[in-house]
Amino acid sequence: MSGPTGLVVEGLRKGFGGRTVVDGVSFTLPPGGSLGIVGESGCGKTTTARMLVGLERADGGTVHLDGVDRSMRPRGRAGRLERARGIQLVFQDPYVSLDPRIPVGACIEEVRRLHFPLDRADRRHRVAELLDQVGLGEREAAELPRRLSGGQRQRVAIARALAAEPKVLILDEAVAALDVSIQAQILDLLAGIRRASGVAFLFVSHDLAVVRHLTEEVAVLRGGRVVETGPTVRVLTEPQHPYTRLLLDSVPRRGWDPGRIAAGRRAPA
Amino acid sequence: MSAVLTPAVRRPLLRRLRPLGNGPLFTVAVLVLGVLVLVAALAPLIAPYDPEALDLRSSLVGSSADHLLGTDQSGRDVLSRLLYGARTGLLGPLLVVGLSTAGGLLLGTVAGWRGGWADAVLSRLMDLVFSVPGLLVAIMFVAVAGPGLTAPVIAMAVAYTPYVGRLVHGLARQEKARPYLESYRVQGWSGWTICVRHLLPNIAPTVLAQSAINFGYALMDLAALSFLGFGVQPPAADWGAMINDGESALQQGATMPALAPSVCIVLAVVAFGIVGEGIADRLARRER
Amino acid sequence: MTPALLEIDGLSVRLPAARAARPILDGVSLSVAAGETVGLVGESGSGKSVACRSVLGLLPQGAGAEGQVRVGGRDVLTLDRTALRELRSRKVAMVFQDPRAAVDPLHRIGDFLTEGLRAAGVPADRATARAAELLDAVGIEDPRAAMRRRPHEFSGGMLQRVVIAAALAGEPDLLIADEPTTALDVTTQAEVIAVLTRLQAERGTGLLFVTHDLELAAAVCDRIHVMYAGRIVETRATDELFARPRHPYTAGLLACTPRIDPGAPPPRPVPGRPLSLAEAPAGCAFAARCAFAEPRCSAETPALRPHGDGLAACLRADEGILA
Repeated sequence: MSGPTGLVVEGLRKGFGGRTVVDGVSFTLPPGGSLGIVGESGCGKTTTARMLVGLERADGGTVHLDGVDRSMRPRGRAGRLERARGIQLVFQDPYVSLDPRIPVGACIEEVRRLHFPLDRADRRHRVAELLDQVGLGEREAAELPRRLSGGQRQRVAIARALAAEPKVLILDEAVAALDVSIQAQILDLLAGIRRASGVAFLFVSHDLAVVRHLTEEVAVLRGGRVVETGPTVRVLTEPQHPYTRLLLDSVPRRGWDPGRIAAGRRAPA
Repeated sequence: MSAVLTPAVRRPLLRRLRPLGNGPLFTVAVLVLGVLVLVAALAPLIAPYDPEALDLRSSLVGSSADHLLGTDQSGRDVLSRLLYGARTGLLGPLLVVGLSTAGGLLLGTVAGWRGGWADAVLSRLMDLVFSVPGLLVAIMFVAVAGPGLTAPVIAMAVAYTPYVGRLVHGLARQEKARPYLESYRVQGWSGWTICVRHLLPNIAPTVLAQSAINFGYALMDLAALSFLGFGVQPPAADWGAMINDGESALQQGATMPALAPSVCIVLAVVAFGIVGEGIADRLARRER
Repeated sequence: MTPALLEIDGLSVRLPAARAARPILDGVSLSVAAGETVGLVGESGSGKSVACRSVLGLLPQGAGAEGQVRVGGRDVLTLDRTALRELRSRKVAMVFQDPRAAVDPLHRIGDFLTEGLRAAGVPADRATARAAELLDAVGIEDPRAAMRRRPHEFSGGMLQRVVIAAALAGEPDLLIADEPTTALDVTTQAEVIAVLTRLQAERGTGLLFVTHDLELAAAVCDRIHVMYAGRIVETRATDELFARPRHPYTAGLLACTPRIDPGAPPPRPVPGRPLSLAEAPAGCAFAARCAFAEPRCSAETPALRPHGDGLAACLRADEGILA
């Protein structure tokens, strides 16, 4: 092993049909750390996440995880599996991220079977453990996804991602589709999982308030570029970049004056 | 949290089928197809006469207690020929639909999932086959291989493959972009496994609906080939060939030998159409 | 006090027996006066969308309703088709969540804006001038050019401005906004809210603002109704609601909303999941998730009663449990 540990992304680029969506994004996520990638729609945050897990191919730049280069497409089964054990992803909408035909317990068991074929004896035990870790029991395990609520499905999706025992878990707007009271449950759950397992989080979100409570570092993206990066507390209390300030001012709260923000935005343009 | 959870109980088959109900028309169509299959299976037991037994003395007898639907020009019992005709009538389309569905699934999935050059090549190939009229290809096949069931079935199977292939191609592309299939890619499964285990079962109902509709069309096309003399050869009982035979009887005032198989073809085609549309409707409703 | 533009009075809605007779709303009452902004806040299944749509006479197909929904003193639920059309074109306008679904994608923006005016008998040139004025008012530059463009040429935020302009075209007394910014980015949300509240203040329009976001409601509304499982559980002036909530659900929502302010505590989850009225057991629908529930909470359905300066539907609202 060589180079620094953790996830190191350098100069990641991606374009679609001549339009650059991700334009030289770089960041570092230490082992067990938690990094927020914040921005509005079209800023390239989701495309970045998809490149990290291999759902899109980068046009340029490098991705290293614990010194191992992930920029090339993996060759063969072993490469594919090793790559999958590096980074896992939880999608935004739990209503479409689970195979509707497969009971959720079996859905997690599949992952264990793929990645740890030799632990047949305690596979069931591990599946139960994973489900328990996300607050689900045997009864839910036997159900098809459609019989579970949105929050329960997102718990399944998290357990499934953890089943591969990844070093990095990417959460792509993973609480955005949930009711507020459920959102808090999932955030709480995620914080607990990070403490217990030491998995690193890459938290992709548009919601600064959510990022504030779950990350140590944050990178603000706009138009495919990182405009500001630093410790979350610092960035959210003393933003340096005008765009970060605009984002912060735009978060609704009591005594909020949207008129001023709108006026402030038009002035520099 | 417990309100949505009820134990998954295996429902009896009939109750599982009931939500398929798209009104009485759908039920009637299913019944018609059921009777058809039953008749085809039991033809030797229920047919009153040998369908190929000639009896020139009782040519073109009207309907009577002996011959419910009368006889044709060669004195063969029309009812018996009709019942036996259901066998080739269903076997041919079954083979066509089976082969074209298999071919379409393979080509469509590979093109839709792989994308890139594989997509370009396979899609152009399917367009090419699509643009050639199936009946014409079938007639060419027969010219080379001789008449019978085999040549038309192979030709029609080739001609129908793009219908399924294009559908599957679209479905595969659409499903590939859905997070549930993407999640399998992120987990490290091979494309082949994802397609066989997760993609195909999820698109199967839609493909099934299309296949049911294709079944009716294939039945009609094969009957047309038999009618033209390229398909199943006399004296074997076949609806299309029976209409051809019955044509000369029509000139002598006997309608039944041509009318009876025509009615059977129309009934079967319409019934398959309704069932196919019914399944498609239901899927559309479930999507919502 | 000015007479209320909108009074919803004891509205109960139930789906028909043919479709498993499900109750959706139970005894919902609220009012909006001219120039007032009233929030209707709730999670999924709370019935907030059904309640606000009833103001336009839009109930789920075949649903049975009890109670009254009065706009300008007339009960919407008893209006015939002509009167409903009159109501929708003159008195009440609605802004939906997804602007793309609210605009015909094939028509030019100008046609979309003027068709209502033309139908009301305004001559073409006057209607065009009025539409341009409205687009200018919602902050769209070069309105004449914008009117020649089609919906796909607009961003979501810009299109929602167009929808707001169209809603204001008939100079309605009352505007219903059902999650108008949920589909938009935060910065765009701020702009659209700025436009909406400015125009509402200028014109003295009453606004019923429906959202799942308590913080957003707090920023926009004078008074907030919190809904849970088809019922209103708390009604209070915004500052009061935030400072001294009386219903444990309101308190729970406040505590579980992640806050951006420095030093704000991490969100505290409420156990369980939000229910709809059909799933709710007897008694208080929130009892199963409530940290303060007593045995009587699952036996007796609490009525919405005055507590402090507002209303709360909790048997223990006077016991100071949330202090």
